[in-house]
Amino acid sequence: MKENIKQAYRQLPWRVQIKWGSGLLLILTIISMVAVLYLSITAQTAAAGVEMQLLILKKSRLIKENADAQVQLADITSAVKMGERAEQLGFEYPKTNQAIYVVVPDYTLPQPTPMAPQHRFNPIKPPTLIKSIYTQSLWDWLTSNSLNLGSDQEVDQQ
Amino acid sequence: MTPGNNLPGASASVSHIDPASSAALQKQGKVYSSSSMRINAIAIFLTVIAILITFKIISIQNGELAEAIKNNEQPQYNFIEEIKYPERGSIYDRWGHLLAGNKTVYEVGVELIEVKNPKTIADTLSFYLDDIDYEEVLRITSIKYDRERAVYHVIVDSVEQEVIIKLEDLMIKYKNEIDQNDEDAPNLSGLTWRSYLERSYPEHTIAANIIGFYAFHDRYSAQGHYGIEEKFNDRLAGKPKKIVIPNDPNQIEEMPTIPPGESLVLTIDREIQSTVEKILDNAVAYNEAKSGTIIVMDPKTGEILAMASYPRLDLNEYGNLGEVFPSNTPFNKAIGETYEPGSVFKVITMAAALDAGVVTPETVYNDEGGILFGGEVITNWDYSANGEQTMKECLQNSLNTCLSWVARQLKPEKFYFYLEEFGIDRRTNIDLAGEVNWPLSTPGDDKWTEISLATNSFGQGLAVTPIQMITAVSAIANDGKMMAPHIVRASINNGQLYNNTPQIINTPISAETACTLSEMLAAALEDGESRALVPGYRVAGKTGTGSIVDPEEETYHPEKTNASFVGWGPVEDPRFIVYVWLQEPERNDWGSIVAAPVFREVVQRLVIILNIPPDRIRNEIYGR
Repeated sequence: MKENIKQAYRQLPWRVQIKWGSGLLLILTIISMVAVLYLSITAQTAAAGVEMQLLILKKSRLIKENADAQVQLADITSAVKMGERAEQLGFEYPKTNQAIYVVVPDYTLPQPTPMAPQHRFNPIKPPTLIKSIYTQSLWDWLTSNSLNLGSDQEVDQQ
Repeated sequence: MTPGNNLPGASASVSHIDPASSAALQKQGKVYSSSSMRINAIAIFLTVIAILITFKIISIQNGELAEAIKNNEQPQYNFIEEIKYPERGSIYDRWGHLLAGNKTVYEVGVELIEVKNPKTIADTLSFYLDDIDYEEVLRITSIKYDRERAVYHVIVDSVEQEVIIKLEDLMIKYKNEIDQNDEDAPNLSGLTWRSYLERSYPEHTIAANIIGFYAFHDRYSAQGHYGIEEKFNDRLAGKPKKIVIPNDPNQIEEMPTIPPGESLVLTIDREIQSTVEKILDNAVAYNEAKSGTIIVMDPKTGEILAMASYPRLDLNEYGNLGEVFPSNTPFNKAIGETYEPGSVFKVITMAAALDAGVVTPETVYNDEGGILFGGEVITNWDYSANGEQTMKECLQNSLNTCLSWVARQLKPEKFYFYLEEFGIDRRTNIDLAGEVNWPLSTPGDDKWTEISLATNSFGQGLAVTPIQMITAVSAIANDGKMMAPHIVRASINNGQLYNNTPQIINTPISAETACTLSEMLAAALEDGESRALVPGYRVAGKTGTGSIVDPEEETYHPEKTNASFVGWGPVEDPRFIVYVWLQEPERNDWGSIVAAPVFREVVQRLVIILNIPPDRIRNEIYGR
């Protein structure tokens, strides 16, 4: 009799099946959403990675081009070539008795141009090139966003 | 039917129903039982499969293949480890003119899998490139591709960009115009190139003896040789870094920045250096000298403005080293060779004597043409006897007898004490590789005898390098303070400039002594109508003619000499000090004839480049 009463309160099978089905669908939906999110971030990361590799190659090429340009410039302005061009243009080295000196108030003799900023004891650290979003895990991203959200809310409340 | 019906409770609940129904249920029970068996069978089957998979995984990870992969040189599939070499630092003169930099060149090679016509590649390369062996290129390009052994082969290094542009044009032409399926058609497929930086010296021979060279043809094991390149090799080279490059673009990682090696800014003035080198070359040629050296220094800071040495090497063609510097010829004679300086050394002796107070400019020495030292008679260079001579006249007439007498007055202890104070017994530690020095014999040493005091006083029986001499004498031009000679003015590291501060290495004499001696030497030049005098500018200095020991005879050579001159100016406010050494001049033996005019020529150009007005104008400006 006890069992019969139990049987009387039992849910209809289709209701149970719907409940199970809904639960499974919900899990599947969550998994799909996570998968889509993960795939999206992964795709962005991959694209950024490829772009970065290209930029590294470009940087390397530019360093070489820059160094090469410096040498080319130095070559065409070398002492020998400048001297030859000056001679072709009719210039010649002055003799001591040919030099005329004029007093110019506050004139200072030319000084070598500094080729780089003077050393400081607290140099500025170079900025990190890659945004953290590209290196953090999904968990890091979620936690940092939830933390940021919290801090934003705090700011809003203030 | 719900799973709950299979429960023992559920069976119990149907025990009271009719027999027909009971039979049906029994039949159903059999069905359930067989279904349960099938499920158990599947479960066992899947379990066995899972066990097999696990077993296979373990066996793969620990099998022979896994061991082979582990032992492979490049076991990482996910990333590549690469050592990145930083760009070698540049070398500049004081005005920022590039003396040593890096230019782009190319390595030309072949991807063997892509080669279609080896003959075209060999023909093309031997046409465009000099010093290339056609047969060797043909052999390389004909090597059969082998995934394990032959994939890529380098043909030639250091190819200029112009050649690469021509090769690229030709390659495109062949691709566009010629049938690719025709095996005999000209085809450059497989020919490939990649750029890298190679050391380059745009000024070629200028300052070559200071810079040294980087043996760039040894691409992966190159080192700096001589001069700055050797001395600062590690700093110029920078620190190579091992970097990990992920093959998977998902594993994004920031590439570490590899800073270039330090760049160095020298104290050298390119214009002064090239001018001085030209003057030196002409002087060596005119006087038929074996070699020569000229150093120009700022006595107030110790900065070397120019350091010319003959012979010099075109640094871009360092392979000619053996031809330019036969046998043991030093790369830079200014620091790498000692010699007996002769009478220029009298400046040091006189400075010591004046500073010690044993003589004054007015002290008179009676020159009888000879003076006895250790049983030997010291004579003058012309065997003359000049009678009563003041100290200024002793310097003016460069009397060996007088300076020997001065050294005797000073006594050996004091004399050698002063030589050590002037740094004659040690290297100057200039920031260049290859500095040498000659050990100074002092009383108590085996080689030292009484006569050494006399000969040393006029620069014989001891040996110095030109850099030692100019450093010592610079104290007289700089109020007694001897500055550390240096070539590197500043360094650039990580984009920041680090200046080198001038250093005083010693103060061997007082400012008063320095001033007195400068005046004596300037007057000696003027009264002696020296060839070193520069119109419009008052200079001080001293000639020197040093005898040379004949190594075979072990006596002084009767004809060969070293001609020297050391001088500075303007005397009132010295801006430069110049040291000239011509080795074994054939045209004339004497420093006063050979080296003094070279000094004058250098100074005449120097005052223009350094913007030094003549004394008269400077006195007007400063109201003297």
